Order: sequence, then C-alpha cells, then structure tokens
Amino acid sequence: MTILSEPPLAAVHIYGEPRLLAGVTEAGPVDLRRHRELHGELPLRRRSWLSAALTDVNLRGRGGADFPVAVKFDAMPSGSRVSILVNGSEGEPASRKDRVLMSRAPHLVLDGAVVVAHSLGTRRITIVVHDSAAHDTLVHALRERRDPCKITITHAQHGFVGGEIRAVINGVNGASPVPGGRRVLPVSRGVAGQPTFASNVETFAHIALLAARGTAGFARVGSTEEPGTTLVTLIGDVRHPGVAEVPTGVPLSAFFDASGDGTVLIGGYHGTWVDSTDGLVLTRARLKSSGAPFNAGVIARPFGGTCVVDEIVEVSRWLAGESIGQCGPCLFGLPAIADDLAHVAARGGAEALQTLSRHLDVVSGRGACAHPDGSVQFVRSALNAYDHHIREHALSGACGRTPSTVLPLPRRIR
Amino acid sequence: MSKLEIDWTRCDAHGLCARLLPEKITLDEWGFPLIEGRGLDESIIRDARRAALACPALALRVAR
Amino acid sequence: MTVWYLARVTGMVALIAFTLSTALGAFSSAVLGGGSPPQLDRRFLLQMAHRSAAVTGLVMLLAHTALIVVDSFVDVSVSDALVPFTAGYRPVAVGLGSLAVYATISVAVSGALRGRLASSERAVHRWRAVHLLAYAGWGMSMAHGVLAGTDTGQPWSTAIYVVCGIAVAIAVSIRIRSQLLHASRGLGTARARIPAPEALS
Repeated sequence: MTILSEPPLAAVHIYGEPRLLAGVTEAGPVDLRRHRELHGELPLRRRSWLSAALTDVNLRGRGGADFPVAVKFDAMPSGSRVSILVNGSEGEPASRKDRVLMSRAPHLVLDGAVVVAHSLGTRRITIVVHDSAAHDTLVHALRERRDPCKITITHAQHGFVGGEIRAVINGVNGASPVPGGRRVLPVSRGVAGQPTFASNVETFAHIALLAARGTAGFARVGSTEEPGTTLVTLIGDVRHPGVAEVPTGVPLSAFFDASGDGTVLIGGYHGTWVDSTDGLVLTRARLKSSGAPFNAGVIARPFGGTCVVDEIVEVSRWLAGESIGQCGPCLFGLPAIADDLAHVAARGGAEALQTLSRHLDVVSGRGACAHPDGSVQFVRSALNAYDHHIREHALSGACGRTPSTVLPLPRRIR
Repeated sequence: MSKLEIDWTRCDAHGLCARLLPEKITLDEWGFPLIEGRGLDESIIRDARRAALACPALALRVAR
Repeated sequence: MTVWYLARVTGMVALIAFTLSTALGAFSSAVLGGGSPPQLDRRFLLQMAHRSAAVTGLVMLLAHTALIVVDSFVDVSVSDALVPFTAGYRPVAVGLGSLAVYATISVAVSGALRGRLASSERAVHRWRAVHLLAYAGWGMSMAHGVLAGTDTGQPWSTAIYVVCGIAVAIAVSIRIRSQLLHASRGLGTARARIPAPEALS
C-alpha cells in the first residue's frame, strides 16, 4: 500500500463574498455553534423542492466529472435502503480544496449530506476521506451533532485511481478499491449493492447552501448559467497560492499578476495545458468548450523563465506508477509514454517525438477508467502548449533555464 | 447495430481475437487489441461471436 | 452378451475421451507465452479438441450408462443408477460412477453456456468453480473403472488407466507451475511475454 505524505494545510483566500468558506479562520474549523450562526438551522427540504432547486441553479458536480447534480438526483429512487456517499478522497495530488473544506467547514458538508439523505428518505451516509486532518475534523464535528442518520466515516488511502467513484464504492463494499471492468453507475448499484447518490464533498456543501438560502439567494452571485461560487486550488505564479473561493464567471486573469499570457495548467494531472488564459472564464461549461475542462479545480502557473519539462516528465512517471495494473494499455502504455517524454527531453530528436505521439494515440480510449485518457490529455496538451520549448529539448537537450518546481507530487512511503 | 466491446480488466493479450477476426481487430505492440471502427456488419457477426467464445479470458463481448 | 461387451467398451472409451478433454482443459489454461499466428492457430485447435473430446465422452458416457441399466448380466436398475451407492451389484463402484456422471453433466452444461454464464466477475468465479468439477468427475471415473471394471487386472486395462493418469498428472502440473510463476498478479500472459519496463511496480 502506498502512503501519501500529507503536506500542511493550504492557505485560504476568498474572492468576493465568502459562502463555503464563511467564518473560516486560521484558528481551526468552524464549530457547530458558529456554523449555525452563519448558516442557520439544518435546512431539511422535500425531494420535489430540492430537485427543482438543483435544476434551477444548474448545480454541477465538483468532483471532476462535472455531472449535472439534478440529473443524478432525479435518477435516484427514494427509500430507506438507498445510500449517500460523500467522496472526500481527493486523490488528485495538486488539489487541496476538498481537504480544506472538510478541515475548516465540516458542518456544511455534513448538513449537505443530511439534507440529501432526508429528501430521499434514507438515513445511510458514508463519507470517505484520505487526509488525516480532514478525517479527524469530521469525526470531531460529527460528535457535536445529533442527526437522525447513520453516518459512517471511512479513512482510506487508495491513491489516485482509487479516488475514482466506482473504486471508492468497491472499497466501501469491502472489495478491492479499483474500478471494475463494467461501467455500473452508483445510482443503479453502489454501496451495499443499493442505489447510491455519490458526489464530491464540495457538491454536498453547495447543496447545504442551496437548501438554506433557496434558489434566489444561492443564485445572487456568480454567472447566470452556473450561479454560485466554486473552490479552486491555485499553484505557482498566482496572486494567492492555496485554496480560493471564487464566484463563477470570473475571468482566469483575475488569479494572475501579469496579464494572462503565460502557460497554465487547468484541471490537474488529468487536465490541460493552455498557452494563454486570454478569454478563459471560470465556468465549467465555458472551460470545457474551450478545450480545458476544470476537472478537479486546479490551476497551476509555472514561473516565467523556468523550464517545466523535467517536472512534466516526473508527473507522467508518477501517473504511470498510479496505474492499478488491471488494464494492459494503461499498465504498459503509460510507462512507455513517460520514457518517451524523458527521451525527448534528453535530445531524443524528431524520432522520439514521433514515438511519443504514436504511443499517445494508441493508449487513448482504452482501459476501464479515465486514468489513461486523462494522463494522455495531460501530456498531449503539454506538447501543444510548449511546442517550441519541447522541440528545443528534443534537438539540443537541456535548455539551461532554471527547472520549475511548482507541480506537487506526493512523497511515496512504501 | 451490434458492436464489439472489451472488458479491459480481463484482457490478458492472448491474441486469439485478432487471429480469428483480423478484419476488425489488430494488436498493439504489447499484444492488446485495437478495434477498427464502431459497428459490426451482419456478415461477420458469426465470426465475431466465435472470436468472443475463443477468448481464454472471456474479455471480448458482442453487444447489441 | 453383446450388450455387456458394448457397455464395457463405451465405458473405457468415455474415460479416454474425458481424460483427453480434462488434460487439454488444464493445459490450455496454463500461461502460454507465444502469440505468433501458428501458436494461436494451435491454441484455437486445442480449444476445439477439448470440446470435441468432451462431446465424444458425453455420448459414450450416456450410452455406457444406458447399456449398464439395460443389460441383464448385472443387476443395476434405473433408480440404482440415479441414486448413488444403492445398487445391489458393487454399490461403491457403481455409486462412484453415478456421481461421476452428475459431475460431468454439470461440467458439460457450464462449458456449453460459458459465454452467457460468465457475465460478471463474481459469475466468472462461480462458473470456474463448477467447471473445475471436471477433475473430480475424472477422478471418480477412474476409481469407478478400477473398482467396477470386469477387465481390471488385465494388462491392457491397467495400461489404459496408467496412461490416462499420467496424461492428466502432466497437464495439471504444467497448469500449477504456470499459476505459481505467472498468474498471481493479473495480466500474467502479457507480463510473461514483455520484459517489464522499470516504471512498472
């Protein structure tokens, strides 16, 4: 088993009106009393109300798949056997937002889970967490409350692909925490084989806000197509490194000092490198249509004048190592891609670039989960965004610039 | 139209599928199948079913 | 008397056919490194041979069972055949034969429905558990033959049992060796064929 070392809690910044991060200070988590002062009593709602509200505000899942929450909610049956799963595993190493939310505003997450459970007529809630601080905070917060629900908090460490929702559910069910070969949606069969409403921790926090404020209150800030706020992890040459809460619709240039013409990674290690953030705006729909989906909500900007190539090679090796090893194209293809990239960076020439390109084509679209495709997207977009720079490496080897060190990777303890 | 589906968690690069259905399946450099195109013509459905049955890992499926 | 001889012959032939089928089944499940076209063709033929031998065995087995019941030389009725260990004539031996038939029919049905039965990971485990009864069925057939067979003790009969035993023993040892060497981690065949890149854990 791989134990990921846990870095200290990220700094927090709020752009505009605080909602998810309301009341959050350096001192510690928002306790129940303060939480109720800020957000009011537990906002239980009927199923029909919640369904309409989720549709009206077009709430999108915050876990990376960007699935419309109303559609997921409406697909669920009601009943006491149904389960709620809160995914706090945050396997993406560059992302900090989920653990910050759980460590600082646990009651908002718990409120959201209880609200959904109540509306579906069930008491079964499971929360899966990897980060120790987040886990301990949630456990402590749970002790402050008296919910009419059976809430189980599972502390598990399963790596990047293990945070994928089907893998999480398999782990909760006692099976191997890996994605299965056939794609079965949690709403059909999830925890204990029952229909399960499974979503990211931040999604549940938004549901709590929505239930408390109503549609109009929720939609007062942010863009019209996707109202509200969203959490983002900001890394590298940015105004406020750490986790930020931002109203949707904000232009990405708001995060940077100089005008947005440096290369930026959007979405994390299954994300997309873009060579300019001009015209890019923070809504999930707009980013997706611009070819750089928001995914796990990470925005990383290397410092000007540094060389990112070695870092990208390191990340691609890490991605290869995170392969569960179930599927051939991933298990053999990702290390080949990492090797190819290293070869290119070390003066491999046009031939090395061609081999890399061929392997990228062969690996895409195959495998049982999104890991190979996401990893290919990361590498391919880097080749596009850093085209000149990478060709320079291919022809002459090292470029002489200071190596960049902004992309975080977990330290592995075997 | 019917199509070929692969259960990647079972596939172990035995290669029988490509041998029995070369019009639709080729192998990558590690021996894993690459499927050509989306659907299956009526004319090769029988061969496709035969290939699916021959897979030692039961990783190939002819789906509706 | 002809019926009696036919009953013994069909029994022997069934045993030989099932020995072939069982040995081929064990052997084909072993990790075979090569993937060249001739090797693949051979593999496909082995699959066909496994099935053909099984079908032949089934036909012979049903004939053998029917003939034993019908024959007047030994007193084995239909119920004696269906309910194990109740026959008047050599009950243990005949009982083993009945059990072997039940095992073999389960194996045959699972084999015929392989594509449809193996729909999920759990279903594959269960399917395999049923199909592995083949070894038990084969073992019981051998015991039945030795104990019930009128020709036991004859050199040719002994020779057949020994050769059948050796064939299955060899096939099973190849299978076990392959399991120990390769199949423990998943993707056994692919890993065996490809030198592992260093990034693989």
